[in-house]
Amino acid sequence: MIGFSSTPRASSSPRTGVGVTLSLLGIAAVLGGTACESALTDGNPSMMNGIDPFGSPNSNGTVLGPNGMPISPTGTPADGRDRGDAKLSNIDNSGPTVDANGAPLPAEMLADLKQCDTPGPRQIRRLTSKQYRNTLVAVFGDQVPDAPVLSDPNTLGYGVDADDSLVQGLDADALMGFSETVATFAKDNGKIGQFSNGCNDNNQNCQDTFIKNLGEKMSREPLTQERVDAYRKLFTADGVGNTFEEGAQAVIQAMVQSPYMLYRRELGPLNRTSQTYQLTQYEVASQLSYFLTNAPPDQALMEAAKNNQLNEAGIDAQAARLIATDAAKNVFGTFVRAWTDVDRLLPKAKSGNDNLTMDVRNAMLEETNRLFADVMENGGTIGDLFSADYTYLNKPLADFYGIPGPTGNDFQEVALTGTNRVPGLLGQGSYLTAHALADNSSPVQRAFVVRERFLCNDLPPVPTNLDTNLKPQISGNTSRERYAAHDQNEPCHSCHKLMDPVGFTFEHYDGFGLYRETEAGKPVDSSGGVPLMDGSQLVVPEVTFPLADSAGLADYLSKLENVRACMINNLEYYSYGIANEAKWPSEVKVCTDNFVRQEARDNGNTLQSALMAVLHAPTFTTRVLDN
Amino acid sequence: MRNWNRREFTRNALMLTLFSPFIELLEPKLAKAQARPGNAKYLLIVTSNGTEPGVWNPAGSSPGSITFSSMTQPLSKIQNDVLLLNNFDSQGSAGNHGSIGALTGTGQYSMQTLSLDEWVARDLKSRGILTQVPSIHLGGVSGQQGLRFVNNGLQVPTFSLTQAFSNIFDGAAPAAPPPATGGGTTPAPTGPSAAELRLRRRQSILDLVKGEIGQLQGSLGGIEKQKLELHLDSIRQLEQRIKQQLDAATGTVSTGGDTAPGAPPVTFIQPVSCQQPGNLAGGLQPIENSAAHLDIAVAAFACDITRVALVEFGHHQSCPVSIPNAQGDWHNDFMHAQGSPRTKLIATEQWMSDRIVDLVGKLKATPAPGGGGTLFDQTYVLWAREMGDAVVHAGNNMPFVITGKAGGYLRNGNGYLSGGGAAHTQVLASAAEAMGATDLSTLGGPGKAAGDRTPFAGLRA
Repeated sequence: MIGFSSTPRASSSPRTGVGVTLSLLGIAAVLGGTACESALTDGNPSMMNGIDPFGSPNSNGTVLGPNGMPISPTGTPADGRDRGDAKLSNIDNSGPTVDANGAPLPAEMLADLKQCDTPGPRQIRRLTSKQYRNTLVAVFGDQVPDAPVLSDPNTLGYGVDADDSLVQGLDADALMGFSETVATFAKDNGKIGQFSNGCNDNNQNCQDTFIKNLGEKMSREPLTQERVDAYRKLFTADGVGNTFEEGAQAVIQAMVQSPYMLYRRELGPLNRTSQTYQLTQYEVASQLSYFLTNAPPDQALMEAAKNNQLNEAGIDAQAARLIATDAAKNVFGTFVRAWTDVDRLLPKAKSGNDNLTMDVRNAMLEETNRLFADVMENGGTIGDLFSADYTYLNKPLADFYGIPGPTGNDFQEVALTGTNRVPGLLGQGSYLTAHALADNSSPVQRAFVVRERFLCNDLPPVPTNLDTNLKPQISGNTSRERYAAHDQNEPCHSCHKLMDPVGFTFEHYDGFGLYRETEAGKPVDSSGGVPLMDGSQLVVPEVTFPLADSAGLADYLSKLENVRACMINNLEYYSYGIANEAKWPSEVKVCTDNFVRQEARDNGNTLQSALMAVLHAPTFTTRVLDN
Repeated sequence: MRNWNRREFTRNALMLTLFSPFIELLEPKLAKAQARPGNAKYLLIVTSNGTEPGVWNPAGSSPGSITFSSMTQPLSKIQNDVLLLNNFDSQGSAGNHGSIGALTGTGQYSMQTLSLDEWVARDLKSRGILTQVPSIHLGGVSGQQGLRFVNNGLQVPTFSLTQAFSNIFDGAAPAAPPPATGGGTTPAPTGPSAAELRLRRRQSILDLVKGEIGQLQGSLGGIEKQKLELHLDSIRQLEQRIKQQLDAATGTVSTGGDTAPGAPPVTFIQPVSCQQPGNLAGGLQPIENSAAHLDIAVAAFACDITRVALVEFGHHQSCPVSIPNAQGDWHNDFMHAQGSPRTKLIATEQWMSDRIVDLVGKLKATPAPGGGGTLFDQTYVLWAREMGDAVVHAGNNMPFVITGKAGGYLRNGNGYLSGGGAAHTQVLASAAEAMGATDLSTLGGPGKAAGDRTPFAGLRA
């Protein structure tokens, strides 16, 4: 048996791909101008921060120093904000997960995952732009002005990173201006009185009522007396004016810019016995609501927090309620589209099929949303995301695929049996079309997502000084033949042998995700396989699990433990927002990873059990001192 | 010079809401172009994706004579005002996607690593020159990190035109009448105006917000505390601006600021009246959005609100482009998916070159706030790349386009210069020197060889 042993990597080796990177760089250096013909033509960059197919990391990975040698960004001075290495690739299996041929072991043969109990670090998290907007809407209504005052840096394909989402530069300027707009709106639309219980006398009673009511909504927790006192002083502060309304506007302005509005707190008081920090009930309420709905805690959740009901049972009850909302479905859709990196489909340049309208592209994304939501809602497993023999189509998308049945623009469940569609996410137009060239398939792009997002492999960056021109497809040649040069050239082969066999399995689907039996008059050859990797490197001796086509790949992924672990890594990151070795080293984070995986496994690896395990993990409610 | 036009604010309801309290500040007390503190010069950095040097290079050219390539052909329209450079080596710091070296000169992540825009802004302040906004970072692709490097990370430029306008021009007031002398403050002769009260209210609110940040900071460890420190930095910058605005409103001149020990006192540079930027409509494709940001940058210079601007075009990873003869993704489709003759990349490079031509026209049509002719005469425009050869992902052949006169620093145009493998940091150093920097010892990050941050001699007049 071959084990994806994946022991936690030492923090002193921040980028696990360095070994391979160095070897490839060495080859490239020796070969100089060697052309990697038709090779590295297509990346899936938006999802990778530091792990893009062409290279060196965006902001946190290996970069080359003046001598051409990699420089670790983690070697920063102590006074620096050491961002560490951002990655989602660490998987600790405690034993083999595939047999000697690479076939997945059944769940009952998997070793129990090592358990430890160190939770994650205390932190503050700036709201995403959507969360900030939704918070204002919850307080002032959906007519409250909107402005792009916050940006959500794309880290690892998501916009949720706790350490990259900051307030800096001209942000304070933007927030100040925007706060005045919001305050004016509140005054002009009668929003002030609702927080002062109708009182507008400029006395302490009215002022405190307003401050406490509004402050609790904006801060998602009751205000301390110290904060109430500070806000009360605004009513008489320099430049504010003399009326209650003017003072209330100043309070609104301050609260719109307040760190208690802008940041979620995951801090809690110290438990001196355990020497850990137990998040407050209100902090847990915010975690739940922002994670599951992208919005602040509603009244029921705030009541539960107020009554100390957010223990595990209380969390379960609230989560069950929230998961059923449309807001949660939107969150799940955002997650699955980011995980599979298919949002790139909308702006992607395409040529050669006029039927791929914007409506069809949007329908493809909705198909992905619907499958994920269905699996979540109906007790499906993580594996079902890859093996579901049904999908959701409306008529325009069904017509595009050539599947009869659906009528109208509403989506309906459609059985895939008897069609030429591959089960699950890999068979969807969103995946096949987003990860393709403008006018044809791209084995590289499709395989890249499988490697990085579904298997959490770290592919090495593309060597520098490598000619990556993709030669035009010769008339009469197939797409597969176009990429054949990878087998013949180094350093192309060293890297592409990790991808191309995976990508070739999709060759029955063209650049628009449509099925084809032949290409250029030749039968499509979709044979391939998955060369086994452990993290960033091929296992030795090399083993390739053979596959006839992408249906086989989908079936394979649906059964693979590392796929489940990888999806959970992504889901955890989406929830906790930390992918920072300096802050949450892999050897500590593995405690949370394994808790979530084991609980999900004990519950049949359903998608919902994985989600609930994220909420049950000690990290969700308990933290250790941040460094 | 056109004054701020009240009617034009009404084109956008949001703008009206944002700016109406300040309109009274925008009309009175207009300053004529006059000697501005700090020998007013401006640095405008334009960045774009790398290119294919073999096609871009103006083959057969020499100093004093350029043979434009197909990619650079539009620049022939400003032949006498433009310098083309190639064969500069990033020394491994800008040889791939997202490398940080293009504008920093180093691959080393640290708090001391600064991209050129931030380096120059800090240098100006260290020499006592502080505009309302130290530097601006605009354009790019929404939500994606650009090439500005500060606080140990690449920064996201402001993509939204309306947001950029708001951030830069909100509250920008024409300068007060000529100051008395020296530092200190002069009492306002009359009671506070509504705008002045607003500024005081802003400061009161910031005092509260800072107090709350302090409360939170007290219980945090290093990484989290640092996040809030960046937030505080942002507030301090705003506070300085408020102070400047109050000075403008009250006819006061203040000096101060948190300068290093021994550094000269900071002189707050008050804005002047200027022509506001034009179309702020949203919904543009990213590169057209960036072109509109160039207008905002020019206006920000014309108002003397800032002296350093970085406007990014596209993104090193992915940027959809839809212009005549080039539809697709700038990098993946134009660099990789289309082979020779690479018509899409040529069309995009030509489009970019035309933006530089347009920019030069606007700079020449805009008076410099500090006198000395037009903004073109006082500005150093540097078109830099995220990497050199984007097709093969290499940084050993970095091309640049330079235009403007930089107050007489730059040699005349009509030149093609080869770096001959010199460090590309030397080009960055030239820009810094042109802006008046004399101590370049930190440019290019720790450990950069002195010779590699020496200004490239061939650029000087």
